[in-house]
Amino acid sequence: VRVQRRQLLAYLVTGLLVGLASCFVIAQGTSTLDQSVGSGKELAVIAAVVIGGTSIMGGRGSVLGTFLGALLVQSVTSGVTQLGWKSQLADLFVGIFIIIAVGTDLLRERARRAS
Amino acid sequence: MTAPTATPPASSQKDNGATTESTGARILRALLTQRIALLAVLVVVVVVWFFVLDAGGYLTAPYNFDYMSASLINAVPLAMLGLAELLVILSGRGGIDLSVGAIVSLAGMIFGFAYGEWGWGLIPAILLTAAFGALCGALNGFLVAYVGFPALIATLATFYGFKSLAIVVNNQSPISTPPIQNLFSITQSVEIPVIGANIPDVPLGLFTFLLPTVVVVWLLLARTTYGRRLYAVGTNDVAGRWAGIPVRGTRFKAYVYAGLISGLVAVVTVAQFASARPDAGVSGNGMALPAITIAVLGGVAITGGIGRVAGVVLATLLIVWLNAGILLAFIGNEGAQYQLLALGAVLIFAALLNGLTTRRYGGTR
Repeated sequence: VRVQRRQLLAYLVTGLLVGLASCFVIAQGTSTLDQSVGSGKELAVIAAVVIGGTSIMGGRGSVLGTFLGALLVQSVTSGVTQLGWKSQLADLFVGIFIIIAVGTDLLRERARRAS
Repeated sequence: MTAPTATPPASSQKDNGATTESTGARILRALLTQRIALLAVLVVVVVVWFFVLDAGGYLTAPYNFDYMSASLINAVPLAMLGLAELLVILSGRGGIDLSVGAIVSLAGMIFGFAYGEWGWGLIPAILLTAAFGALCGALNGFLVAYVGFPALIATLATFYGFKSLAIVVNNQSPISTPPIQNLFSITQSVEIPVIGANIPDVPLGLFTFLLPTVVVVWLLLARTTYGRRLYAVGTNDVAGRWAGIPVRGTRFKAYVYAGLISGLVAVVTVAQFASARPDAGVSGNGMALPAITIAVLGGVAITGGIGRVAGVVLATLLIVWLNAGILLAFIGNEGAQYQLLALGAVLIFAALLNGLTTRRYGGTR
């Protein structure tokens, strides 16, 4: 396998998808198009991917998991406001979910290695 | 049998090669292999360059020693958090702390409560804030060292947690009662006694916070058993365990110290803004990513086990004086937008140089 070419392609596709996402953000029609609209998104995205079961060490992960992870992050965020709690508390729950998701992963890994 | 005897001649031959090099080649080699030397030269180049631009009248305000000295106040939080990242990244196994900015926010609010509303004295309030920062760091350290989370994930999670708590704890509003507002005095520039008349005034925060932190971290890394152990654990986890080093405890402490330093940065930040802001450490690009950038630019290997205090300090000086100059090179606030571009360019330049050096001389020191 030509490793370098594959890795280049991975970053290329990432850039492509970011471009696509930015089109969507524009289409969403936030009243002003701010240059800083995307900053701070990268950590939220990593959170969604990790919750979706992608290993941070590489080599494991799925599209469906990532989709569900993103869905979970978003529903936690809107759920917290629906419950009438302060919307800023949502980030706390995202953090807790990351811990739980990766924690179960670790436990499973440990159990597998023990057996 | 032949292998051990073959090694010494090979290395002495290499030494001979080094001494027969021309002076120019030797200087180039020293610059490329020693990050400290390279950074020192870059700092001088940047400063001289802006002095020349200033003399040519290209800048909107004078770039002189007074201005450089005043801009050093920006170096205080940056260098301190850079040192925090140094400790954590040194500890190895993908060590990194994304939560330092969020700890700054949350600890800053604690400081705001203690000093601004509960009427605590300044020293007890600072101690409480530092202890609270260490507690936040301990949570990171526990997750990473004892439970076994990847550091990136654990600190990402705590980043969210601390950030959210900092905003909620005082209903999104900053604390800026009179005692907090008066605290601004500790970031003002002062004249140094005895020799002060001949050199520019220096921001007070440099002496009260940055210098002690630099000295303590340097002593910790270079002069204590803990420092040796941290380098050992960062270089090779397994070897460290077989050498009888308490690997988990050592790594755990690195995160606690990083949290402690973040707590101190919180005090500086509150003083700088004259207000305990709930988003102090996470607004804009946050504080964590610039701190990691500074550490990497300062020659800290992201794989752990390699890195020095002097590198981090010099990298901070380089970035702070470069940013200060860029701000003057453009009219209005436009320069602020270019600072990030410059930071990225410098970082890529440093990484490229690293790659080149590794290929040519076998690694930086």
